[in-house]
Order: sequence, then C-alpha cells, then structure tokens
Amino acid sequence: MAISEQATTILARLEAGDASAADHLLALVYEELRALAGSYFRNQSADHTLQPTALVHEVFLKLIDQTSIRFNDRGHFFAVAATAMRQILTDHARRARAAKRGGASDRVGLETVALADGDGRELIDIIALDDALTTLAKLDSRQHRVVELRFFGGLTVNETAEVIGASRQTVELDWRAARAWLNAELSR
Amino acid sequence: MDKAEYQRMISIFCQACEMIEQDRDEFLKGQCGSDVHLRARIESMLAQDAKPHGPVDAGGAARILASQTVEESKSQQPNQSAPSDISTLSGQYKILRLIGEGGMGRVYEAEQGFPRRKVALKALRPGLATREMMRRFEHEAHILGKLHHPGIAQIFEAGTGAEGRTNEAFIAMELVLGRPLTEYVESNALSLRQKLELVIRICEAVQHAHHAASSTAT
Repeated sequence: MAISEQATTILARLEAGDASAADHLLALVYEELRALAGSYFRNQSADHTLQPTALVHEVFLKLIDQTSIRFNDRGHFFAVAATAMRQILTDHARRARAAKRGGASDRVGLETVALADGDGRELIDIIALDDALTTLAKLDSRQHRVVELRFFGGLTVNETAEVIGASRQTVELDWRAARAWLNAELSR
Repeated sequence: MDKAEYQRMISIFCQACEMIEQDRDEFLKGQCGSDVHLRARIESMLAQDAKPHGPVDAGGAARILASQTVEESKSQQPNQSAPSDISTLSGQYKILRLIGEGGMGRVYEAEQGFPRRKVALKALRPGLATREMMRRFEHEAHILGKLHHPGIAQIFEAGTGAEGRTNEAFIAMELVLGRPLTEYVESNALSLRQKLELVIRICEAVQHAHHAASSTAT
C-alpha cells in the first residue's frame, strides 16, 4: 500500500473511533516529519527561519490523499502532527545533550535554546518544557492539547478551536492560563 | 499538585487577570488565605502573563527548530565535526584539514599511516550513506582505479571505515596541491591560445575517464 493510502486509511479509522489508529498515524507522521526536518537541518543555511507549520503542511500533502479527506480529518491530522513535532524537537535536544555528555568537548549546549526578543534574550529549555507539558497533560488535558497545537503545530486560535471542538474564547483562556503557568514553571 | 488544586489555581488566576492592579491584592488575600505557596504561584503566573514575550509563545516551536538547525549546521563546520581520524581495515588516516566540499561529501588533506604520505581523502557525507549512494561511490572508486593519466589524480585506496564506522565511505587519492584553474589563468595573464591549450589538456583527461567509465558501465 502506498504510504499516502496507508495514512489516509489510518485517518479514517481514527475518525471511526479506533484509538490504536492514533499511534500508527503518529509513527508515520513522526518519520516523515523527522526526515523532512533532517533534510532542513542538513541543507538550510543558519539564518533560514524554519516554520514547523510549513513542515507539517508539507507532510500533510505528502501523506494524505487530498481527494478523499474530510474536513474533520484535517483536524485529527494536525493534532497528531503537533505531537510528532514536539517529539522530534525534544528527541533532538535529548540526543544533543547525550552527545555532549558523551565527551565531545566543543559542542555547544543545544537543549537550551536562545530566543531573542525585543527586551533581551529568553531561554527555553525544550526538555524542561516537555516535562512540564507532561505534567500539564495530567492536570488539564485540554490546556495541554491547546499548547501542543499552538506551540508545536503553529495553529491559530481559530484553527485550534476547530480541531478540539471548543469555542474561540475557551481556547484563548486555556492558552493564556497554560502559557502563564508554563512560563512560570520554566523560570523557577 | 492534583487536578482540583490546579483548576482552583487557574480559576483564581483567570479572575485576577480581569482585575485592575489595585484590586488584585485584596482578591488574592481572600482567595489564598494563608496558603503562601498558592499565592506565590499565582503571582508568578500573573507576572509571566504581563510579559509580551516568554519562552512559550504561539508558534515558538519555529524558533526551536530554527536554532536546532543553526546548531546542527554549526556542528557540521569542518573544525568541529571533522571526522576524527579515520581507521580503515588497511590502515589509518590522520585528518589534517578540509580542502573542499561538494554535494556528496568532503575532501580532506590527510596523512596515511603506512606508507607515510599525504593524501587527499574524499569522504561521503555520513548522512548520505544510503545503499544507493554507497553503490555510486563504489562505482566511482572502481572507475578511478582504472585511470592512469597525468591529468587525473591517482586513486590509492577505497573502502569503508573499520568496525563501528562501516557506514562511512571514503576514497584515498593522490594529493595534488594546485590552484584553481581560473586563478592560475588570471594570475599568469594567459593568452587565448594558452587558455585553449589548457582546455585541450583537460579534455584529454576527461576523454580518458570517459572511455574507462563506458567500458565499466553497469
């Protein structure tokens, strides 16, 4: 079976309520995204700004048979893709951290990422963020999904609301609260 | 913290967000009572909420991905990721410096252990070492091995790394310390005739290679 046919079938099973389908799709999307991100890692110049959303869309076009897809399936796909993106970024940071511990002395800290903004540099420890998100999933699963979709999937408030089937206001509140909580956790 | 405690904290946070600064203190006192930890957490959330930017912002993964890319490309700089010296089944090569880089791999100046001599070591990019690429690389080595021409660097050895690095393919060949053709032509202010004579010599080498390649084509 062609890979796009496979992914489209899995999506249909997911839609039909088959929970194991999510894991299958995640594995498939993870591989595709990782390959794609990897080719960016190798080929893009340092100043190129990568958009995970663009990567996710690329994988979406490649994996999913566009003629047979229903609108609802799109949401499922992006939810899965956001999770895959989170795994890829975290795995990458964990590997980098392991490699650094492995001995090569001239490696720079990769797991802590400098985010430049107007009033200084904010640091984000992607591994700490992953841990905090795992905690958040237990405390408030909807907030957790909102953060995955918005932060890792790059979805807008409206798109997020469509995917999780909540109102715009709910998503905005969830995002605001979860963002404040995560930022507070990460700056402790 | 459990689910209920978290929900309560979020609820207090959301209400406090809606208030003007002056009313917050009174409100938090009433809600948190003597629970100083809860109060500290909510205040720290409010402080984060007031900041326009934080580690977690919408689409922030883009910046992580971009910076991982930067790190990745940095780590591919020759002085950082130059393969530590290459051990092969037949000997050792000590990498001295990067000479050049192409789509398929890099060329290093290296010192062969035995016989001791300087060589040009062409190494296939580790990320590219798929079966198909290894096959093409082997084919190239095979053809190079058949060539004997003053215009073509002599191949010494081709193979893969020793144990543990067998996915790294390389070709060791004669090291020719020359200058780029264009530079040579310009600095010597060659006449048209002299330039054409150079091109003819290049064509002879290419023709020699072409014959050898077509006779081994698979």
